Amino acid sequence: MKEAWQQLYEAHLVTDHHPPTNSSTSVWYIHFITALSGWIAGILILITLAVVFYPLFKYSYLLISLGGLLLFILYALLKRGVHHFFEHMALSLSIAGQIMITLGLYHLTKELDALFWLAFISLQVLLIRMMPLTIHRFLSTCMALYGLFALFILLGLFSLFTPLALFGTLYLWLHEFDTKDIQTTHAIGYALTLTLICLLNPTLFGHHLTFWHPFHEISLVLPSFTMGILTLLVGFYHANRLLMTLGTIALLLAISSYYYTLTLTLLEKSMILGVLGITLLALRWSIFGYLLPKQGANDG
Amino acid sequence: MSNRYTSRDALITLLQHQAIERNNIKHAIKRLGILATPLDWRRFFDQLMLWLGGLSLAFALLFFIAYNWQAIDHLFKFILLEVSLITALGIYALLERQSVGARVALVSGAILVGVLLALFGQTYQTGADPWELFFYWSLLIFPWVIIGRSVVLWLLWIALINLSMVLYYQTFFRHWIGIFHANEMLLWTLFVVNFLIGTAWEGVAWYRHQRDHTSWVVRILAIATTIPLTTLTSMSIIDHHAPLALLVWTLFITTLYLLYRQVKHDLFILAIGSLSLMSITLIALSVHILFKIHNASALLLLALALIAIGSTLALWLKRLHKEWQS
Repeated sequence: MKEAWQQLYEAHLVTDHHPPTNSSTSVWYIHFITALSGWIAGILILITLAVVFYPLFKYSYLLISLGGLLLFILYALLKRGVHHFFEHMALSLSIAGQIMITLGLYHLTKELDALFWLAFISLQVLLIRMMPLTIHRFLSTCMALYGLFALFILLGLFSLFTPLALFGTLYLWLHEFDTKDIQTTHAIGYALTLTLICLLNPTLFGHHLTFWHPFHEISLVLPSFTMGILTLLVGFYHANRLLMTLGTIALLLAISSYYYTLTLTLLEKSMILGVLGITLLALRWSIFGYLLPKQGANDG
Repeated sequence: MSNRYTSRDALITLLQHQAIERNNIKHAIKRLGILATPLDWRRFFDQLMLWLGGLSLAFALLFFIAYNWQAIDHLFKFILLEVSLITALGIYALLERQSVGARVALVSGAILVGVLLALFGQTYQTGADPWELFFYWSLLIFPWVIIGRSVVLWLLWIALINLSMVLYYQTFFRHWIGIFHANEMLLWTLFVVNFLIGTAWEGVAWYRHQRDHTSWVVRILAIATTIPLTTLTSMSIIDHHAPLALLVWTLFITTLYLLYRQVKHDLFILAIGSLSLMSITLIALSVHILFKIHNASALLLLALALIAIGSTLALWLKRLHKEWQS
């Protein structure tokens, strides 16, 4: 940290005369503990509310209003700045409030139609914009992207969802340093990446996709594979180890689902893999052995 | 000398403290050398193509044998596999031991050993159970795992050992002593075996004076050890069993704390221990509160307790992180 600050100080690129006393880089597994405890506590609070106010839960508008009121009070309190303990509680109460609104919306629309998903996505986008909690923004982004995925599938536009979501996610990562609030950008970026890895994995959500895509045999694995490779590349470009790990996981999931989901025989899969392996090794040998030998690499 | 990965962390900290003006960010990124250079890309694609190419070939052979093509003679399949295995080992022997090419060759060879065992079982109809395949596979590649010193090989070996244990209990004990007791014995075995491997690993690291760094192998082993023990402890709390699991769990969590908080610093393992602590406390509270208070306030109490435990642990881990970084 001090070394990097010194370099920037010498180049007159930092405003302060001393480096920050502590690092504030966040650690994902601490956020995981917060999110997990928040989720479970949120569901317990919701059950408590449902038991106590059971008669009220039958009225959709009342449910939406109560949920909305809860979220508004939380927003007002969080904006004023509160203790760490309350932040965790706010996450749990917010999850309870969101489930109340979602239940109310479901009662109103009677089914999971386009209007329901549009309202759901709008709610989550509003929460990402308003709630000043990083972990809250992360969870709301996951929910918003899931809503968008469901909406696109419902409208028969899955083939549009993958390129749009991939483009959006990678664009955000490539411009992560251009944004005003890097912590929020990272919360949204990791949420989009993680949710996309799950959504594009055929073994998790493949049964949704086979219906909608005319070339599902190959197209089932390709989005997941493309997602893995591109995430790995962007992660490497920006020296982001966590993003590279997520890309590798996406690749491994794509390869494992290749074994199970395609209707090709094992022999055909074996041939494809064999050709791919030989091509990659031959390409590597010709590119790095002849076209770009080591001494010339700096010239590029 | 800082690399571009640590420089990135430093830049993010500076941006969060608003220590860099917006129009200077691009210059700062350039100055710290965060973005990959053509030389970095060259090295990256070189390694990526080697890994993808080598593993694709190994998996192509695996799929080919799994297809069990009757039209092809068994002798041909044996020759094909053995020649591939010898080629992989030959490449490993010829290249520099720690080079990426050598590692890819050794990992591909380790996969091919399993394929060879599967072909042996397929050809001679040995009647061996699936657990035997994975167990002998892990046994045969163990010397390579030791020699290779590759994280990928170690993870493959740990996965094989764990898989063979699960399959062993599914094959035998389920019929003899019932599913519940078989699961309990399996969980104890998984805990003990993974714990012993982890202890051996840390012992060797201590002996080699690699005391500051914790490998990802140990972190994965910590997960593989904590999950079965936490499950066993939860089962014993719910069923009011003998407190052996609770005792072992208490000792285990204390050891994790002393080793990774006091002796060497590892936040990830402490986070795993914290999750286990949170789960066990929640289950213990659920059992006591839900049985004594039969109304909605019990759930609210549980929720508040969970928030309190979760926020305390998260705060403690955050403070440790800051303390160690400064």
